[in-house]
Amino acid sequence: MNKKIFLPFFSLIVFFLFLFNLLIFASDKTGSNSAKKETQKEVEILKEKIASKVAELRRQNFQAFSGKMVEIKKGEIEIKDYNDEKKRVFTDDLLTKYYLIKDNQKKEINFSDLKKDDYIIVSGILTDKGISANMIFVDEKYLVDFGKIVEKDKNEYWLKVVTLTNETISLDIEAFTKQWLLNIKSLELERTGFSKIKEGDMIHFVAKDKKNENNRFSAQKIVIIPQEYFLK
Amino acid sequence: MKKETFLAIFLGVVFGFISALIILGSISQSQLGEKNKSLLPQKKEPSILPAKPTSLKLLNINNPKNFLIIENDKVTIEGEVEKNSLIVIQSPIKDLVFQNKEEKFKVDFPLALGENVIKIVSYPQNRNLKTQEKTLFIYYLPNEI
Repeated sequence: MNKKIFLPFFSLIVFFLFLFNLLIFASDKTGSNSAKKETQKEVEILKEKIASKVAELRRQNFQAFSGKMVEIKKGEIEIKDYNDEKKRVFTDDLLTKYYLIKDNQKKEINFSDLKKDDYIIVSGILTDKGISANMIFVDEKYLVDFGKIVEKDKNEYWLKVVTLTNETISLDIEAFTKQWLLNIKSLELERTGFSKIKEGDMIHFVAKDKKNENNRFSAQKIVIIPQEYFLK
Repeated sequence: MKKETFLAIFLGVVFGFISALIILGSISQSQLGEKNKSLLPQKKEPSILPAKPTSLKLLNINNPKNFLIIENDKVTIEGEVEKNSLIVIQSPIKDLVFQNKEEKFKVDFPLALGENVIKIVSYPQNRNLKTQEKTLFIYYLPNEI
């Protein structure tokens, strides 16, 4: 072969080989990068799956119980629930945390802050012996019920109510009590006053579950369904 | 009497007897069939029985389950009850009154931190039916589970 032709031909082949190598290297690099990214993504997905599974298992095992504390001992509390059934709650100095719920906020407190007759919510795991407490929240207990107004005292602003279970409850209508009346045509709730309430009306009420000095419950709010609604 | 005459009479009697048996058999079968037919329920004939009376739909809450711990400050209450009942849902932070056009109802309901006692009461449109109620204890405890 002529030298003049051979040299450019040879350099052209070298150039193409170099270009080919460069292309292979680049494709390898991007391939390994994308593989790495793929693996990282898979690891992330796996981590998320494990975390959600753990959360789900915790959610399944965790239960909430509430009741009034009837006895407080170191490491053990006895509560009486809404059915008047007693339940044992086991606490741990290191694990159990205590909070006070007030005005829709929680504040951390200590075991020593718990008082007999306080109403508590216990979140934890139920065992054969009792509840193993993870968190204890001191909360306000509310009475939410309804019934028929059978007596109205205009002088002292109280109502006697007979519930569906034939329980008689006396309710004080305080200055702070929010009073609502159902408009029987529009079915909207409207602000009302004590004078508009009649014996025979249905009343739905919320009160703090503690009797006041008059031995009656102070109503936080009431909803009146006028008896006329039932005569329609 | 000739032997052939006797045979003809004998065959005639036998044939007549067999024919009588066949006719009797077919008559009794058709009568039995008619009897059976009357015992079976007539699908195509219109029923003279009165329509089944509709029973009272009991108040049922499908969601949420009682004593549930929730991490959000609201919950969707789903249930079913007699159509056109007046439903009152009350908790210490919310009062809701509405009439359900369908048996099923679904409402969003806010929750306060801690225990939420939610009373659900239904007054059926038919005043002869009983007022029904359900109480839910729902715990809004964020980041605690």
